[in-house]
Amino acid sequence: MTPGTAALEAMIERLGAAARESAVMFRRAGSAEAWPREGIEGLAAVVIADAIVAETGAIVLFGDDRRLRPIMASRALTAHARPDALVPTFAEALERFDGAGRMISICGPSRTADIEKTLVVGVHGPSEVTIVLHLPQS
Amino acid sequence: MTLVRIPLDTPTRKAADVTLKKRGEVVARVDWERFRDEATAARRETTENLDALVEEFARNATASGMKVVRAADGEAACRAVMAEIGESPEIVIKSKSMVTEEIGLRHHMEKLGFTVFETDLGEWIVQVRGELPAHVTAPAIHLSTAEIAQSLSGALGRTLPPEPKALAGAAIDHLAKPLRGARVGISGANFLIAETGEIVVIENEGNAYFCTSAETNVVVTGIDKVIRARRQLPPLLRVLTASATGQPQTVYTHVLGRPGGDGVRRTIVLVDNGRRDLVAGPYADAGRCIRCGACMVACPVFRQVSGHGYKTVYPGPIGILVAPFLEPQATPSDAPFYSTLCGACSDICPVRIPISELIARRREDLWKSGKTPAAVRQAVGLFRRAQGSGPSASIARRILLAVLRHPALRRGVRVLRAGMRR
Repeated sequence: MTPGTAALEAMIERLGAAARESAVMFRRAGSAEAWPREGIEGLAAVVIADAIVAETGAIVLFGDDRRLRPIMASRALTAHARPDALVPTFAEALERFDGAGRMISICGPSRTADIEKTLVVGVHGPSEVTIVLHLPQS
Repeated sequence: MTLVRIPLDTPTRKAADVTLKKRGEVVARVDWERFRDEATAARRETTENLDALVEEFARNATASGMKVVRAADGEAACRAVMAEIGESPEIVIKSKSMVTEEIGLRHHMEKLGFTVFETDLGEWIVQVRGELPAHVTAPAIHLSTAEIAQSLSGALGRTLPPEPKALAGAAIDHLAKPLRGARVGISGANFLIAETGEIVVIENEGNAYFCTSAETNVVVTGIDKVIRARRQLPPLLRVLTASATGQPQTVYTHVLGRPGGDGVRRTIVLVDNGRRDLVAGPYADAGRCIRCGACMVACPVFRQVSGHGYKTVYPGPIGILVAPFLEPQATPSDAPFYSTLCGACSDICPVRIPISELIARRREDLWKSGKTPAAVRQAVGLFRRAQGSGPSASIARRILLAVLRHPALRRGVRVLRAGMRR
């Protein structure tokens, strides 16, 4: 299900703002950019997002730990998505989870503020997170 | 007269201020009161139907391929965990869980020869120092960077600079190998969804992911974490993260469903340990608690004494109410008097627990049952006598004035004032 053009544009705008706040890099795929294959290369993981939350810039993945462990062990995570993956909030992403394996929502780089509330980015999960949105070429 | 200087820039106060500020920013952006209402309604369902919801969760979790074990108390819970991971000592990784602190699981395992790594940074810091967490979501809230540097330098056997980034980096390096390699991972849970049998865990560091995806994953949590439906989860997560750390959403939200073909064996140990008694009695409202710790950072007493001042695993205003049920041995008899009854806790509680009112009730209960500490009884007697007339009232008034002018009490008054300034 793909949202209508106006609704889609509004969601993309929201996603852009949320991504900035969550320290997620966000861009639209270039016209020559091919749809990628999911995989791990060195410390980088490329994934196809099962959902992207516009409100927070979270990448949502479903599956078992054979898929998810290498992704969580990577340093740089890039999630590719088409408009049908965009959902307004976490609630709609949760609705899409069929209960098989686990669902993980990744909202920005791993972080801690356990030492005097000082933000330290890059803990055990990926320390760089990017969302690439592939829109149909018009 | 001696002047008592009250430090206003302690780590606890500073951290509390940062959290309250960030929380305020999130609250201002959303329809906060509506989310609070939804979260409160969801948790009220839990306390009113606890047995039925736990039963439903256990049934659905079992059907989805997890093993469910019920534990009546802490000892039974520790035994259940050991039964899952076997007797031969090995390396175990653990993510944050207040329930495991409550039942003393780590000490139990260490006595049996296991090497247990707390993998949440704050939790590891207090593990290294041999302390309890000072706050439910910010274990090391009471420590300065310099104190942490000293403790971690001792633990790692090299001198670390008092810089958060360097200290976190050293901890990450130290924990990375066990985190990825350990066969057994112990974790907690933030919510259990009855209708699906799913387990929900939120975190920021990524350590809980590795603990929940170890070959053998044992989830240890309280039966009170159960909620009826999936659709109740989003508002609960919103109020929990905003209240705990001031984030709109944590970095990671894990929903553990049916274990797949990836070989992860998951057992969940559902701990009662006083929770059914809590929701069955006059303090049932406190059973709604989602362990965000907002009442702690808002409390003028907690802000001054920090978590260890309460002597219980669950500190602060909500700890005064739940500790007598979950850890009766550890709860001091004068705990309900570690409160000014100012009401800041009730005002901030995301699930609308009337904490301050319940603390007042607890005092009343203690008074009626004759268990009020002697010092409090004497003070109340003095106030009563001072209100009368004649020579004994005049003597009582003189004693009261002398006591009230005592430096120790001036200190208390200044703490109060500082708390109110917020």
